[in-house]
Amino acid sequence: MNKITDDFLTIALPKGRLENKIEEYLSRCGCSFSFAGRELIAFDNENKLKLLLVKNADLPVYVKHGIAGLGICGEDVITETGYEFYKIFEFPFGNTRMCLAAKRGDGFPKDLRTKVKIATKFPVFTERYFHSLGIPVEIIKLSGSIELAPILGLTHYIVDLVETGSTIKENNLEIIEELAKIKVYLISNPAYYKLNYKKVDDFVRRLQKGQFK
Amino acid sequence: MDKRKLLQIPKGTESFELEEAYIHKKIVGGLLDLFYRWGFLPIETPVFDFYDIYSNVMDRQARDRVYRLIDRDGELLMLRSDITLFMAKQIGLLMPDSMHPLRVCYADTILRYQKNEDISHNEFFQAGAEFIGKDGLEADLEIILLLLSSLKLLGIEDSMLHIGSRNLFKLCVGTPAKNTEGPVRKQLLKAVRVRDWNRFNKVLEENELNGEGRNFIELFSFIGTGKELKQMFKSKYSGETSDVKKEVEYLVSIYEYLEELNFADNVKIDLSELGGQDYYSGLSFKVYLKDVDTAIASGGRYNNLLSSFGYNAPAVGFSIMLRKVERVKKAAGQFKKPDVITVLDDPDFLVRYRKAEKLRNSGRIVCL
Repeated sequence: MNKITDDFLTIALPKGRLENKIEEYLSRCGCSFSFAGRELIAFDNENKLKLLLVKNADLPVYVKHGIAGLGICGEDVITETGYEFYKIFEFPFGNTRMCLAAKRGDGFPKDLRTKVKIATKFPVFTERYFHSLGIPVEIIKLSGSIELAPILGLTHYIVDLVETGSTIKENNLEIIEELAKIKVYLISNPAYYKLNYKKVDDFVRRLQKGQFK
Repeated sequence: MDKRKLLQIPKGTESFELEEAYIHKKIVGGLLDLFYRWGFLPIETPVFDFYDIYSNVMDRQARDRVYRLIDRDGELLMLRSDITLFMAKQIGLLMPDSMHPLRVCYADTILRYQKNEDISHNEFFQAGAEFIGKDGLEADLEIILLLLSSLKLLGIEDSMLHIGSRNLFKLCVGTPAKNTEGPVRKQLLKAVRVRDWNRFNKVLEENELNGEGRNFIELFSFIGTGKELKQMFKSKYSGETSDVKKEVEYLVSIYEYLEELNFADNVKIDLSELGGQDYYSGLSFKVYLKDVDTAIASGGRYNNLLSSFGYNAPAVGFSIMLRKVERVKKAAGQFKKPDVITVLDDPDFLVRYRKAEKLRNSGRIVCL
C-alpha cells in the first residue's frame, strides 16, 4: 500500500441515490475506492483522495466547516443550507427536476392574491421561487412522503424532486409545472479552493475526461 | 429564573474567559504595539450610531445582519457591525485636512446577527489598520506589508494572501453606456466571487455587456504569480483598453515589490478577489490559512467611502479576524500564559508581599 501523505484532497460523498453513480464515475476517471464494511472513510487507489461518506443533507455542513474541502451533491441540498460554495464541476448524471404537483385536475393556483399553501421538503427553494414570481406562499415543511399531503388534505400543492414521475402518478397526482432542473455538482469550500486550487483544478480535469468515456 | 437564558447568550456576541481571554488580550496587545511602531495611532469608534447615516453604504446582506434599536427620542440606531464604516464617519467629521495622511488602528468588537450554526464565521473581534488620505502603490504596499508583518508576529508563516482588484472588475464590465450599477453589477460580482463562470457569461449575455466578443473568464479566474499574470494577459488580452492594462500592470508591480521583499511564497494574485463589501474601489485582498474554513483577514482600498460622510479622501486598510487566528496552534502557543505561577507559602503576609514584588520585577508571575 502506498504511504498516505498529507497531499490528498478531502471529498465528502452523499449516502443514498447518488452513491453508486459517483463511485462508478470516479472509477471511470481512474479514482477507484471502496468503503470497507461499515467504514465511512476511505482512500482512493492512488491515495490522492480522502473520501468521507456522509448523510446527503449534512454534506454541505462538512464542506462549509472545511472538514471536507470538496463535496458532491445536488443543487437542492445546497440551496436549503443557504451556504455559498464554489460549484466547480457539473456531473453528467443524477439530474432531476424540482416540480410543483397537485391532485389530478387541480391545476396551477388560480387566485394568486391569496397565499398558496404548499407542502415540501425544500422550504428555502419553494419560498424563493414563488416570491420571485410575486406569489405569497404558506409553506408546511415535511421530511418525507410528500405525496400524502394533497391526498390527505394537508395542502393542495406540493413541491418535490421528481425523477421518473411514477410516484406522482401512482398517487393520483400530476405535475403542474417543472420549477427548476436540479444538477449534481462538485462543490468546494472557498478557502480550501484558494489554498489548493492547482490540485483541485487537476482533479476537475480528470473529472472532465470521464464525461467522454 | 429562565434557565435557557442563563445557559446561552443572544446571537451576535460571544464570551470567553481565563486562558482563552489571556491569549486574546496578549494578541491584541502585540498587534497594537506593532501598529504603533509603524506609526499608526488608535481610534475608538462608538458602539452604536444613527442607522440612517450608514444604510446607504451597506448592501442588503450587511443591512440584514445589523442590530437596530430605538433611542429615547425615537431615533433608529444601529450597533457597530463594521468598524471601517463607523471609523469613516468619525474621520470625516473630526480630522482636518492638515492631519492627512492619517494612519489609524483599532482592536475592537463588532456586533451583528449570525446564525447559530454559522459560528465558524466568527468575526466579533477584529484588529486592523487604515491608511487615510493617500492613494497609490506605496500606501497599498504599506498596508499589505503591515498585514504580513502582523501575521509574522503571530507566528503564522504558511498563510496565503490573495490579491485582486475591484477596479479591474469595474473597468472590464462596468461600461458607462449600460446600467451596470445595481442588480446587474451585483449579479456579476457574485458570479466572480463564487467563481460561477456559466452564470457570469449568462448575465453578460443577457445584458449585452460582452460586446466585441470580450471573454473575461480566463482573466477573472486567474490565480498565480505576477509573472504568470503578465504572460497570460499579454497572450489573451493584448487588445484590452489602456485602463485595463494599467490596472493589471499595477497588480503585477504590487506583486513584484512583495517578491523583492521575499514574500512571494505567501502571495498570489487572484482576480476573483473582489472584496466582500460594496465600498471597495481598488485593491482587495484576503488571507487564507490551512485548516481554517474562511479567510483570517481581509481588506482593500475604499476611495469613495469617506465621501459618503461628506469628506473626500482615499483610504486603504485591513482587518484581522482575531478569534480565527487565536485558534491557530502556533499563534495561541506563542501568546499563552506562562506555565509557572509561583504561590508563596510564608505565613506572614508582609513577607509574602515583599518577596512577591521582587519576583515580579524579575518577570515571574506570583500570587500572594
